[in-house]
Amino acid sequence: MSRFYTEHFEEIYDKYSGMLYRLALTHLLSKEDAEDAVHDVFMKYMNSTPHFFGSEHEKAWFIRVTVNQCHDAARRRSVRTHSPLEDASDLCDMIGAGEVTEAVLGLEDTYKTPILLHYYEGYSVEECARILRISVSAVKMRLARAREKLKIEL
Amino acid sequence: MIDKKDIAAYMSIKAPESIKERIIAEQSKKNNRISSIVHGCYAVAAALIVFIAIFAFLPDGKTALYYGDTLIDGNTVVVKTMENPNARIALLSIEEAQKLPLTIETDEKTVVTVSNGSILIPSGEQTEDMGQKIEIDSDTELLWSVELVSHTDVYTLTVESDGKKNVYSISENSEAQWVLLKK
Repeated sequence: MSRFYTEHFEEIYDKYSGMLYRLALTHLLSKEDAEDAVHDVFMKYMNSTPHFFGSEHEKAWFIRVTVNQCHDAARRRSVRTHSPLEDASDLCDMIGAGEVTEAVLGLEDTYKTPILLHYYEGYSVEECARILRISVSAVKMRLARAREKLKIEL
Repeated sequence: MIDKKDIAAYMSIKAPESIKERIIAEQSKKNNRISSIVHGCYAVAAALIVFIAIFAFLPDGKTALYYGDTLIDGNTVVVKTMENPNARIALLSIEEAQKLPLTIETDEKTVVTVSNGSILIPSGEQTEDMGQKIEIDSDTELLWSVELVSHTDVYTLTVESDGKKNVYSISENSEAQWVLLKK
């Protein structure tokens, strides 16, 4: 590990860990899995030493790698002891969120991710498009479909 | 649709410190492992350098012959000077055998052979006559007992080890000196 990454690790960790953990937890609905995912993301960061063109590029890298890590973790899970909705309910109870968030957490990842990034993390549609590497219109379409599903659910 | 209370609840989720501690511990272990490997490589390199240095300066198994304290190797040593060269022509001179003090340095099986005379090994106050051939495997002091009679003859002592042969000769030069040299 280069000295740069050793010295800057704590700074980078403090900057992104909260957001990444929130994303991982809301995707995986498991504290242990979320901790593993965030751990793996930072290990990738330190071992692959990526070069960024700016802080936005850096942030997008972290979010994208975290989302991919969550997808991989979800695929690896062979047995679920609870249904996704029960996990979402437990999480919402834990953080004090309401039924809307519970419904969001129950969405499939294609719709959950842009909802979380746009409405919860506060990223613009354009920023979401850059992070997820999809077009602005694709982001808008996914947000619209997510809202429809939530309306039906609620 | 999504109210501020839900957003605040979501934002209240914080990453546990245990993740950071785990990462730091793993990287520290990895750095120690790399450091150990690097130090190991330095140690191996240092040992290799010492090993090479030792063997560069170790004798390479060659034997050496000393006349007294003088190494015979490309130089000539006078072992006897005729006091009256003319007497040899006029009279049949009776020469006593010369007992040339030699030391053979070796660390392997070595055969020493003389063309004339015999090899004597000091044994306390006495000497033991070993004949014209002896076998040694370590540094040995000996006496080459040889009659330096004919000024036209060349008397040889051969030291052979590990298939290599060094031949030393004694002959008379134009200055009526018997000289020992390595052929």
